[in-house]
Amino acid sequence: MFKLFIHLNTFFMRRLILRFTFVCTAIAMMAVAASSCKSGPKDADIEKQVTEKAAAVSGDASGVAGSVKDGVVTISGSFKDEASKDAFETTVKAIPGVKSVVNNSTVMPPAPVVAPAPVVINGDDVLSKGVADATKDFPTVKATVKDSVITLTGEIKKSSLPKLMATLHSLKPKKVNNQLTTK
Amino acid sequence: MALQDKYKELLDAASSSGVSKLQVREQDNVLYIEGEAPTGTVKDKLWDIYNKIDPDFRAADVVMDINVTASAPGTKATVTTDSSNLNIRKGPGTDQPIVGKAAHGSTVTLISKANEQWWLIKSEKGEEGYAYAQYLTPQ
Repeated sequence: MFKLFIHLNTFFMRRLILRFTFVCTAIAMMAVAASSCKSGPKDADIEKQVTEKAAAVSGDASGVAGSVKDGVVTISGSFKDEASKDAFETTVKAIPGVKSVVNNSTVMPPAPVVAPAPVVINGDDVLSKGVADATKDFPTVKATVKDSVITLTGEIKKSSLPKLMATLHSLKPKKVNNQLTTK
Repeated sequence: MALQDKYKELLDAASSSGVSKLQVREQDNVLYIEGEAPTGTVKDKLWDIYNKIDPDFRAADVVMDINVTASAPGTKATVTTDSSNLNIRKGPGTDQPIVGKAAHGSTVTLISKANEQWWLIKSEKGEEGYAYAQYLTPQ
């Protein structure tokens, strides 16, 4: 009878130990699973969001990307100015899960200002010849050319004025001083 | 900038009516407008607007050099003189000898453009030479 009791006791003890081991293993596995859940997919989620935000500011920047490790975002690429660079950093910091930001992005040098080419203005020789041709059929119009400025005096039919002016302007003068009397 | 405001209607019309190579520059208080109009009608419309903003073009603050896009060789053009014949000359200039005449209202064939003012043409009678572009209207 006593022997049987010991035997049973050992049997229960074994089951208890087994159960305990099982519970411990389960807890350990859950802990591992939980921790991997915390770092792995979350970084990828953050990175996805950073990429979306980068696409939204692509007009002000080029090659902007963020790499994420353990919630720390490293920004690379370049922005058109300091303000858009800072604004993007603020945006990234606001993404849930971001612990800190390492901003390695740069600011682009300003584009050189290209001055428009100067206006082509013809000299008096070219203009005089062109003006003579243009006014040949308007005997009442007198035209002089000086320092690339055409000055018109005399009189002209009002309806003919636009046509004459269009021709004179196409000769590329500095300007046309119209002192014609229209009739 | 003040000139661009004054002639805003003109500049807007130029960009909305298909003027290509449009260039607007301000230099020494003169606004220079350059470009190529798709048709003679567009060019005339722009000159109408210019005439409206600055009646009879007295302000001398604009040079509008808008040409009609070069017509392809072989294009027919009507002689649109007031009433007289159009001189056909040996070279591009009124100092060049006259080699023929194209009647008012007749049709000539465009061979090439020497410049914006002088076109090389061939008349109905087969006379070839330079005529003043202002009196030619492409058909």
